[in-house]
Amino acid sequence: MGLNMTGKRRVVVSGIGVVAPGTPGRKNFWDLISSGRTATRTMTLVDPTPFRSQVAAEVDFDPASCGLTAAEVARLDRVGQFALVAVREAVEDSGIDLGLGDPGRTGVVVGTAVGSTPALESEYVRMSGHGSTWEVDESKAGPHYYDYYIPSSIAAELAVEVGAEGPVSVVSSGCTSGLDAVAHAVELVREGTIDRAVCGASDAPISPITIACFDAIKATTPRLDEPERALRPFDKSRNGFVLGEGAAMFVIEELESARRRGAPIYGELTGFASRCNAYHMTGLRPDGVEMAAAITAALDQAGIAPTDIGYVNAHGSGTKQNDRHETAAFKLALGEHAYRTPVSSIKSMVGHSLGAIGSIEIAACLLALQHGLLPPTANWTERDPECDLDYIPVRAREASPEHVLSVGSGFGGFQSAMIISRSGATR
Amino acid sequence: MKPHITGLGIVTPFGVGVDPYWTALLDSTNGIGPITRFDGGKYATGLAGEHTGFDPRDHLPARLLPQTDRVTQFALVATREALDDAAIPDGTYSEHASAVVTANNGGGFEFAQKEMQALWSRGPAHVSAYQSFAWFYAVNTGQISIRHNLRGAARALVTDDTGGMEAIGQARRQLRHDCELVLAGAVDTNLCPWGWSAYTSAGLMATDPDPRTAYRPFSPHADGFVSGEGGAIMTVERPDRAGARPAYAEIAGFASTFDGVARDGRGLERAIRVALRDAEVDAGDVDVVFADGFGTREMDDREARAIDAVFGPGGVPVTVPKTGIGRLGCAGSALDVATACLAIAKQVVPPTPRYQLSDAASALRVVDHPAPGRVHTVLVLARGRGGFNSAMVLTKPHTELRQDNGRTQ
Amino acid sequence: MNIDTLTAVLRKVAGEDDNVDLATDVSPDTSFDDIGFDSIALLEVLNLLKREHGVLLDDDVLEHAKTPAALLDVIEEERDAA
Repeated sequence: MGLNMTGKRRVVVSGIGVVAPGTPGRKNFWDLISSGRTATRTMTLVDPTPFRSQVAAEVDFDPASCGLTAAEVARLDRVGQFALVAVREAVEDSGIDLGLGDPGRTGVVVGTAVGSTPALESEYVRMSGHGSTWEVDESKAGPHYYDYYIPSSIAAELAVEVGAEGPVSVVSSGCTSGLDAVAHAVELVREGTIDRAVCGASDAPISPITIACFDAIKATTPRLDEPERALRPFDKSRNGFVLGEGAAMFVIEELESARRRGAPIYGELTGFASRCNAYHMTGLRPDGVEMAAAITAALDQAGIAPTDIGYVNAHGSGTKQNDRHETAAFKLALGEHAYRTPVSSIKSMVGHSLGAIGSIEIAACLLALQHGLLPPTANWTERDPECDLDYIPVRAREASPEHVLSVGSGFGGFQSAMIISRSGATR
Repeated sequence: MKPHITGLGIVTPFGVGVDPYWTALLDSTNGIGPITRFDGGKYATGLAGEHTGFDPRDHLPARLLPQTDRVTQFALVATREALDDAAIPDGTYSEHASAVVTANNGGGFEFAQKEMQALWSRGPAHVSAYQSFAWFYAVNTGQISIRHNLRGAARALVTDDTGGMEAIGQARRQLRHDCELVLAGAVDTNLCPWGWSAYTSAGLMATDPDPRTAYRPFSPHADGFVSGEGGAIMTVERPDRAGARPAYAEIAGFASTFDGVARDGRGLERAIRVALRDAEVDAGDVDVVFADGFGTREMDDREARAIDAVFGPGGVPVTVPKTGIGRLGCAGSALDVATACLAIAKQVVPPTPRYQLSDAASALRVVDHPAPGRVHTVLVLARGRGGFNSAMVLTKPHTELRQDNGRTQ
Repeated sequence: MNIDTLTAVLRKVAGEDDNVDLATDVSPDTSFDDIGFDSIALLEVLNLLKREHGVLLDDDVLEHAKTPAALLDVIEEERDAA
């Protein structure tokens, strides 16, 4: 049995599926972020006219050409459709036959920050006559309204898809959901409750209520010109994030059983920790102490030192506050090594898809290990004195780190850190 | 390592606090009635277990009110109650070893309905800044952590009505890693028109308009459930750190399974067996089962089959304490765990309120009156729509068992 | 716009009746920090000023206006400029 240095079972990723802004698919995603192109543009899913922020990173998504049936499209909101397409790609990629073995030893964990909000909003508009009444007309509710109300329906859909009968859940911790959901599944495999899981995250939040609520706190960029250069993480001119959407799903397995079946192995999930800043629902302590504590605890779990980290996939949302906070946290956790470590934010290219982005960033880290190439921070042109690390500006960089760090930060004060390591059998 | 549950914070239709709830439960008081928060008469069912007397200003600083939904207000009140109940001495735990895990079903839905109305009737400029965090599923976890400076690994789970129990199960998992104290559980409310219609439009709710008989699980007349609001948050501690302070119960075993396709009760049966094995107890050791009691014939039959399969026909007393208040969404399973804690602490099996009115014909041995007696091991069951099953085994704390044995010898 | 109108807006955002009585305990020169207004609460104040009083202010106004009196000055300047 594969055990890591703390005596726990080891967990590897054997399959990746991605639906990211631009064209769906793992390969299209990697082509986009490794070339430094961006998928941010003037919103098309919603009429942008009434909003302060009018840019989004959207998926060019045609459900039918992604293999979804009419029934699947009818019962799933966009968030569920993304998840299902990504799961199918991940399972195919891993070559696993989930029908073999005990279905009770397979779990499903899905991260999502806002679930089926666009479908809920459509239901609301119909039932309330565009908000004309407080009481709503339940006879106008669609047949899947309850499933939109409770996002566990997304996890249930995926569990039925892959035949899982072990623990099935949604982890919804806002913008760290994508990291936390994968970590949750890893914990289940490590503790021996299950041997394999389908896990990851999906969000499709681009609808009026979500755009409006980020407008109200001025968290999204008001930049109207150059939509393709709207999101500028760590750059001096950054002024907010760009709402994105998408999904990344993984097949994870206990290392020895993955080896036995000759599975392709992208990497090992060696460490994870999260902390809460207990400070403010949207604000961040400038010192970054909780994110630093999460990073340190994740390093401890992986049994490695700060100097072993060869790349940091940053949260890098491109708000004034976040990028400053995060830079401070990296310095606190990695010390002088922070200045020698390449850091990048792929949000510059694929936007901020709330809960999904944590998993999309894990996918970016695994693909970076596979290709020996670190994705850049697009749109970085001018140094901010408060953000003085190496942000891999504009162009991808060749490198083959043994261990990479991916972090997330979200409303509620949540800070999460994950260590992803090259496995001995990395393909 | 079997974590100790040391403090309970409860909000139910009977009010804030353990005592009003426990008293009402033992008296089989009915907490179900016509909805008052909105015009329930406009919907397929207008009955609910509503906490009609709740005034958040009695419990929370005014500044929190404009930024919180009722569900978050319940969560903050329940957490305060749990911490007061546990009376953990200051300085026992570092803030980074103290965490929050809650479950949610809809988030701050009434708050969101107000903002939706503002947006769609008046425009985007009328959406509150607080909407950015008052609705999402992690809102209670975040607000609790801020209010009580709990900086350890936070999590929010959504698994339909098993959520509250899942959160408590996750607390146990985190106590094995880097936490020493976890505030865990769930509260829920769907009592706004938009949230309510998600339930009424999906069916499976009781159509009987009589509040006394509408929700009657394991009755041949069962025709659906009644929804209620409230829930429970509890302090879950590492036993080596809880020290000599009294605990209600130990979390001895936990399991969750999924059966989205073959919904024949086998998934629940599997959850029960795995939880018992995890707890290292035999079926014969279980003193009482707290059933999920969904309230439809089909779901009740499945649950009865699962219980029978493990314990034999009539092999164990079964109670459904929630029949007096309805199903509290994701929070009902957390409240059931809290109720099991009280049963163990007080050595009384609480009744299934008003079960005698339900013209019972179930083969299950349903408890319909408070039953004082040995309550050392309780199995609590939970299910959620879509195929979610969870089972948790709670046992009397070992320290107390040793004391009991000492007394009898 | 006078200080009473602004106080009414602050009161609405603060939840009406906190321990701090905004009408009597708070002088116009007390900092927003001291009366417990965080960044989101202040953004909500700007939102309310905009939609209920038609006062449009720049996003960065809060970097300079740290008290009710200072905010009122900015509002007056904006009005005079318009």
